[in-house]
Amino acid sequence: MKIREIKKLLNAKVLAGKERLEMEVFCGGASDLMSDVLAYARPKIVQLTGLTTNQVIYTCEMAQIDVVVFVRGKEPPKEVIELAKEKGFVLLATKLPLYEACGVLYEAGLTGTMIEPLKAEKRKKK
Amino acid sequence: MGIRKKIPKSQELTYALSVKDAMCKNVVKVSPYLSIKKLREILKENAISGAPVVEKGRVIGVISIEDLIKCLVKGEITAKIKDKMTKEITVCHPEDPLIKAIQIFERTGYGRLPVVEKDNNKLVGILTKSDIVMCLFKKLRSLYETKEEKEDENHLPLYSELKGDFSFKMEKPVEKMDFKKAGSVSSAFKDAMEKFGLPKDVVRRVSISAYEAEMNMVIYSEGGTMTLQIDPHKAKIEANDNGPGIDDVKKALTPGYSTAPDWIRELGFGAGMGLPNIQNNSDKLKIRTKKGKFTRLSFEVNLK
Ligand SMILES: Nc1ncnc2c1ncn2[C@@H]1O[C@H](COP(=O)(O)OP(=O)(O)O)[C@@H](O)[C@H]1O
Ligand SMILES: [Mg+2]
Repeated sequence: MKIREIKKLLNAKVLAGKERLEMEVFCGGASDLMSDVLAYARPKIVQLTGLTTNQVIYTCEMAQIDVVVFVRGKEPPKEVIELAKEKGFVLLATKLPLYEACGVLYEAGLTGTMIEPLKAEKRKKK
Repeated sequence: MGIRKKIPKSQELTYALSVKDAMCKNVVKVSPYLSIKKLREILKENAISGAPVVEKGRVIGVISIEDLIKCLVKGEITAKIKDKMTKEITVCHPEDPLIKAIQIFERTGYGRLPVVEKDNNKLVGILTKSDIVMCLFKKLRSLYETKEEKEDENHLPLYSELKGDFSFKMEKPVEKMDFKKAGSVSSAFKDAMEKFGLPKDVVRRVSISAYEAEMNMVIYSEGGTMTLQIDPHKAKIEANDNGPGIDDVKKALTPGYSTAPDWIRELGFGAGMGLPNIQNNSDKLKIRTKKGKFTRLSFEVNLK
């Protein structure tokens, strides 16, 4: 699904990365727990969250995610947006709460990643 | 083909590449009229061990952390940099071949070289050994990518090229409770690993674990330093803090165990998954800790 479409579905505002709206993402994830993002999220997904700190940006960077949607009408402070811009992120903000935002995207065909810790993946390899 | 000994590509490149390809253009420089006290702040803030002294764009000396320590010992914190700096400096020029800089490093044992323009001594950059290694890795990588079809990611021809030659190290301070910067050290490490061309999977595992360790240092410790080391066969992180230590390491490693207060949980941390995450992502994990004194956590991810 193109980011432009996500923006439309969630009636979202673009806070950063205007020039990348034609990019596609194939899965989504949602969490307010940063360790969960690090443990379960896959690279290249769109991440929905209710947190708006610098650590959201750093966490997503480590997990190789660079598209973030802030929910519940919360917008991050300027310095967070600046940090995200520096790192080439796309940031969106929607008024919808987390559950509904996820529901709208899921219904439109954007599913989740297989929710299974990296641990399992490691075990399989061995 | 005759019997001519094959020169390894990395060595060949040190002749072909010049200093300007490898140097860092953002130089932290200091004025000769600053005090030693101010110097200390600058070195600390930028996590560097020395800086060129510049007046009107020209390099007139270098000052290092050793000079600083000498002054501190003597209590000369108000002294001016110009009276304490080393004036006989060795420099290199942007168009010099890298091999020349490598020879200077070997001969003098210096950690960094100011890069100045040939005719007017104007400072244009700074060169460290790590900059050279980085530059070679990048170049080798792009050569291999164009020459042979992208090989299996795990094959790593670049490492075998430089095997035994280099070990790259990067150290950064971590401040207690500084949530503005928390994550920035792991971010810098990730960037370095990407520039080295480490496999994506390795970068991901190391940077996720580094980030968990960094957050723990910010949240639970008095602060300390983190180091990234890249060797031909492994990437290693060390996170050393100045206490208070971990009461029960086994318990701390249990998924879900956390002593985080509510306000930390509101920031999205404290799920008790940090140390387990590190354990799952690394090939080797060591935690040494002493109550009231320190925690030293280190982990490795193999490159093969
Ligand atoms: N560097 C450290 N110094 C002191 N205590 C620590 C340190 N790192 C971790 N801990 C302790 O170990 C516990 C578990 O850590 P972790 O698995 O990262 O989970 P969390 O950070 O979510 O609490 C922490 O709650 C804390 O009590
Ligand atoms: Mg933690």
